[in-house]
Amino acid sequence: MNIDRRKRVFKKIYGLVDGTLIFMDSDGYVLESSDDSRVGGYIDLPSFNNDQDRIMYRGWSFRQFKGHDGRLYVLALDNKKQTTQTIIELISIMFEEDSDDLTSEEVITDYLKDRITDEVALELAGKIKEDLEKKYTVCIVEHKSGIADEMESILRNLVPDAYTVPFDNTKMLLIFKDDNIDEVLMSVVVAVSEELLVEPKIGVGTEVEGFLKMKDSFNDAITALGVLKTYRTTDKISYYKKMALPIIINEMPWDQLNRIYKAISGNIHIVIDDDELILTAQRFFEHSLNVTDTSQVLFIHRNTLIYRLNKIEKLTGFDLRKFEDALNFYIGLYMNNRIKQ
Amino acid sequence: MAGLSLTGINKIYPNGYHAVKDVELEIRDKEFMILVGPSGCGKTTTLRMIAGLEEISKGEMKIGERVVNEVSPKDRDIAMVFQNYALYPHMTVYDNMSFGLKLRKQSKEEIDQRVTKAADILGIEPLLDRKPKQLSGGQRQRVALGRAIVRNPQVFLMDEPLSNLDAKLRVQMRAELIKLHEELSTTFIYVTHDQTEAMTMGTRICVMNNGLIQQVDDPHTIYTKPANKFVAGFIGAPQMNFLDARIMKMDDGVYATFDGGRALLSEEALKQFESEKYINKDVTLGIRPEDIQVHHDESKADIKAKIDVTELLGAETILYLEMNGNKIIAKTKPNQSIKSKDPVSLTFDTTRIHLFDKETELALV
Repeated sequence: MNIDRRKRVFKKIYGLVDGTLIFMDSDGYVLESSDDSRVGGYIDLPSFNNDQDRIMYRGWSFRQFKGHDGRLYVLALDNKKQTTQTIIELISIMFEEDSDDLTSEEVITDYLKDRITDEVALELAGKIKEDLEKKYTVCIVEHKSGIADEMESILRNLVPDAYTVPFDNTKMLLIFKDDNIDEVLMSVVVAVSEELLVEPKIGVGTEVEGFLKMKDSFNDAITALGVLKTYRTTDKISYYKKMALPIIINEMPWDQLNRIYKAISGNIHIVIDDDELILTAQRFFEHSLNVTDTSQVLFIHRNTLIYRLNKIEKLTGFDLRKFEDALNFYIGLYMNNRIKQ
Repeated sequence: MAGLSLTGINKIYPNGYHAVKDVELEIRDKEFMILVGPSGCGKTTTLRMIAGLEEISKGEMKIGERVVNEVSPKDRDIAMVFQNYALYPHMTVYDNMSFGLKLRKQSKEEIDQRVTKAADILGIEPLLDRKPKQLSGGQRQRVALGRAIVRNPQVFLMDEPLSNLDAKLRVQMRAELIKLHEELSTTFIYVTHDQTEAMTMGTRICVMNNGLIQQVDDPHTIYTKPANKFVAGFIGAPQMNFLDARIMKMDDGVYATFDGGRALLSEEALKQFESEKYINKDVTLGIRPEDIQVHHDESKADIKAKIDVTELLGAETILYLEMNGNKIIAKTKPNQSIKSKDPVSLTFDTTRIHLFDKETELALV
């Protein structure tokens, strides 16, 4: 089991044990504890000699063991009874023996969270017979906190062929091994919305080939999600491969962004806080600069829309009915968004 | 009992945008309430606050007697049907409908009973073994509704569920939703921007604009007694005609005069507002296209106009008229002889005239 699974198991165990039980790394950093106040802090660890893996120290029983990632971990219990040592021994053995019982999802989690090196990841992936040359697409499903278990249940039932990886308390990873994910992702959004009345946001990375390339897809998915949250706040799914413009703007060096914005944005700042004009411009772009369609969706007369477009032109210098002006205005809006962030 | 009550509901986004302003709305148990208005009016935001998809910035919401502001969305006992309803592509219709129940670990018998019942109501029992790609658009829509029905909620929320369907299917599904509402006898809250949907489906309509409720009434009252110029213009197709007018007192009565003509205001109309205060004041006159009689004989009536465009719809004809610089729309029975550029005369049905205060735009008559 990986560290996440150990933490979950630990939480189930410590209620059964008398005394304070602590699970930490070899530096004494507390990963989990039956005493919440200790988590994230440090314990003064005794030194284990080369052959030693258990020590009694200052009223505590310490047991050191090796995880599947090659790192050392320590369990400690503050109870001097004989049974204490037996308990801690049992727990450690369970964690240790289970080092080989890894799932693909656990290996992927550890790899994407940089807990294991590329070499260890490849070795472990080979051990669990993962096809190292397969194609992968990593998607990040972001949701509000407090519903991780329900999210995992939905995703595992809805997309059984994909890897479902709880990443943290607001993100699940869906890792696909085939094509046609568009339809599936839409159904994920719908299923989560209908069942939990929560709207997830999904960032979709590029399709990559090879186990180690999964990290590239993961990073692309992070970028796509970030772009979605910054620029397309009403959309649900963002594909890295479709986000050329906002990604370019997002990754631009700050000085360059400001310089270009200053050069192309004209007088956009005059209308940027005018909700009505900005909404008009956005709908106009969404409807491919079509006056009829835009006026219908805004429920205004064509003439009113034309009046607003004329007003934008008068105030900013951009005639949105001309492609180049529309493009520069569009880019200006994205840039303004990033600058505001 | 599952009525809904919204008291002083507001939604203010972090950037300061005030999307929904002081909404007060009582939705009765088993009612089919429509929230209608143009894009950006606040109707979807209001629905989303009811669902719990958006937090309420200010105000109180109750479902039944229970205050639900802080209640988790999934515990509000509501089911929502979204615009993009997307069926689960690799599952059969049965599995699509039972998906949520399985997640909730309902028994097999209970699942079977609910799915069968919902499928029967929707007329999709023969389709239970099919996959979504084998279904038509209307059938898929029904399956999406089925997913909501099996949950037996107290309230159904629907956010423009028909907007992705073609026109013919939309009309068909409208009728089916009305039947469904009667069959299920549950509260429906339905958002649309389509005023025809609103008028044909709702027991009551809530018209919204700029985050504010404009009027809440049954469809007939909304149509015949719009509370303000916005409601009057939004509801009705073609849209109500608006003319600048002035209230004038003549020897033979009080008139609303406008460029090209005048309309005598009836005693009943005069009783509806403080007419004396409005003498010689400017108002807006409204008249619906079907309340304008068009005479091919120019001499038959005092109001002169010329036909710009005719639209033959089969059962009726829409005439776009030019009247003293004003654009007017009239609706008449089919008339093959009327054509573009013909001069005509108009009679306004004075019992159907609406007047609106020029500044407040509130209805006077």
